[in-house]
Amino acid sequence: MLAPALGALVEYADRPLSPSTVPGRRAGPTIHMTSEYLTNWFYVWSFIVSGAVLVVLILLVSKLVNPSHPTPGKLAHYECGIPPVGSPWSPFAVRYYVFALLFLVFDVEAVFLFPWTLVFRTLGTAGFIEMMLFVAVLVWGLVYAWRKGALEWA
Amino acid sequence: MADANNSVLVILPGIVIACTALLVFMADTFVGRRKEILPWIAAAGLVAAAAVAAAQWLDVDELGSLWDLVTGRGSAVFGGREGEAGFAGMVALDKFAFYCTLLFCVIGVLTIMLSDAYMKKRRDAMGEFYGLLLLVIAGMFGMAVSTDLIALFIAFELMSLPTYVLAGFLRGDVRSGEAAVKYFVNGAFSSAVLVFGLALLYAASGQTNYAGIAEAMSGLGADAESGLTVVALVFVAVGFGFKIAAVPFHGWAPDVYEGAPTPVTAFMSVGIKAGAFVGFLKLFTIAAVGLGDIWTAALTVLAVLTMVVGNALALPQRNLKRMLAYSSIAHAGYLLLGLIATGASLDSAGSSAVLFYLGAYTFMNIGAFGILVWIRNRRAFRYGLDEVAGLARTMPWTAIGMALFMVSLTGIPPLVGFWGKFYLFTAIVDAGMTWLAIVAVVMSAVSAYYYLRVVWYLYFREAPEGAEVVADDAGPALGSAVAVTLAALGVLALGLYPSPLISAAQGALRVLIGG
Repeated sequence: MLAPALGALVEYADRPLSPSTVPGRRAGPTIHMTSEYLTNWFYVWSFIVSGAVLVVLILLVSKLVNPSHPTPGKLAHYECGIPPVGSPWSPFAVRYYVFALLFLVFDVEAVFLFPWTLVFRTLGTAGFIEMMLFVAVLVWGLVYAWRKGALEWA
Repeated sequence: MADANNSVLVILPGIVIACTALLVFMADTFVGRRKEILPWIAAAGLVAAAAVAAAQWLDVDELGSLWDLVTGRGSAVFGGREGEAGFAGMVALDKFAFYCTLLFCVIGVLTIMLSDAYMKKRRDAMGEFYGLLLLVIAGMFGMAVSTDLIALFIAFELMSLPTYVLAGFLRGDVRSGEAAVKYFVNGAFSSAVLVFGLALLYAASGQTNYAGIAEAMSGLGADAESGLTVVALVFVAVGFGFKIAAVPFHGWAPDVYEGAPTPVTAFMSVGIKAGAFVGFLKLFTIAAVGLGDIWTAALTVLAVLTMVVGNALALPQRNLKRMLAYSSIAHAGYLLLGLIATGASLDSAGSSAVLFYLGAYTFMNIGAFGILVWIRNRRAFRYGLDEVAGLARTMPWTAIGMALFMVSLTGIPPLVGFWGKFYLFTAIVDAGMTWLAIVAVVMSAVSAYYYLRVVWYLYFREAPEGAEVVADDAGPALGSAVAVTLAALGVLALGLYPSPLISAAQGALRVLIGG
């Protein structure tokens, strides 16, 4: 079933786009989809290829012209000045996950609040009430977490 | 924004359920030790939601015609029309959604009563349990009213996410944790496949609205049945198949059903299945109505595999919870027949048979799981088949109830399970797919072995050593007993007189299909 389906997919992508087949598209000259696609993808690929070539080139040049005198101090793993002690795979307090969850409450809120401020005037009173309800539900969740003791470090 | 008030009215039953959930969560932190009130709040919220849904369909002077309305004869209408759309066509409250809302509220109330025995021992977790349960039901309501791909997916997730938590409710129990993780991983995967299918459906039609998709597809004419729509509908069918545990997407079901707390298992096998079925019934029969050939073919494969494998794997099970899990898979296969019949014949008979079967299955399956909860409340019980041997002597009424539900699940008249299968199989024969009906009947006969074996153990086997009835520490759970009794009465009453439910199911679809 898959092979004819894929074939049909390609055929579908290759079909001429007439205004009637794509709802909401303005009437215009018939465009052949493949050529338009290839033009767009050409830019993408040229960016990818030139980016990769540039990285390899810089590393190569630095390798060639750089003097190399390794000492043990230079080869040590370096992080904020203090030598690392023990394995980084140590257990950590699972209670951090509560904070991650609580962070989501405000995170989602902010994601929704910013676009709302842009259309605040257009939406008017109804939009304001709806947003206050949304915030109220999130505050409700925060109060719930508070009452459940999720904010206490114990 | 102009129709803001109107839109809120359309989803008012769902808002009532969701607000009750928030109330239960918050009340949980204020009531201290008096947590017995929480199930009452939850049940009251569900009753209120059902009442709101009913009231929306009635003019004030037509209160007497509620019965006619339920049976589809009534002239009561909502807002002067047959159905009311809201939020720019994202949702629509019609007779179909009305029937489903009532069904979901019945499932919810029965589950709340059933969990009585279970929650008495875990009082600290009552708030989370009932709150999450209500959120799932709000999601199921969303599935019933959605008429847009985006609304459908949000409802689908709202229905799924709290269920993962409920499945893992026995904190510290390894099996319950395993159930939650398996369910979550499988569920997240199926959601991804589903949303991919929905995206491809949008790509094929340029619309997210069901009616818009149908229009765009019919505008494409013969081009509509392209590879893109095939892939899209197959992906949607896969996501749907995961949620209803259709073979070959059933792998998670037995472990999850066995590991989850029994009331949750009862709810999952009935509620989640009902929510998924009504949501996708609407999607397939409205949006993809012109593409019936494609999704009917996909669902036919699923249905045959599900009926055969589900029943075959139920045969060797000696754990009752696991046996009921496989039986639940098999019943999903029977239910698929109704959808296939609708897709093949464009007649609403198959879909109304699905609605009827979901109602019938609610009583049978919640009753069967309820018996397990009840036995466990009365004595040591690990859901083994051998442990119920000779139960008829020690607990005669429980044995009668179990026998009743087993016989009804087999589909033997005069119980409601017979009528459910009768309408489904009639619909598929009328749709011209007699061979599918033959498969279903043969597999029903196979299922008689493992259902009636339970009855055989109950009545004709000697009880094992040390199976005396002992009173539970927490005392007998009246709520569970009431739930099982109501389910038994439902199975009996609807078996002897099924016409109200079937005419309600038919009335619910008069508008949805061909209207």
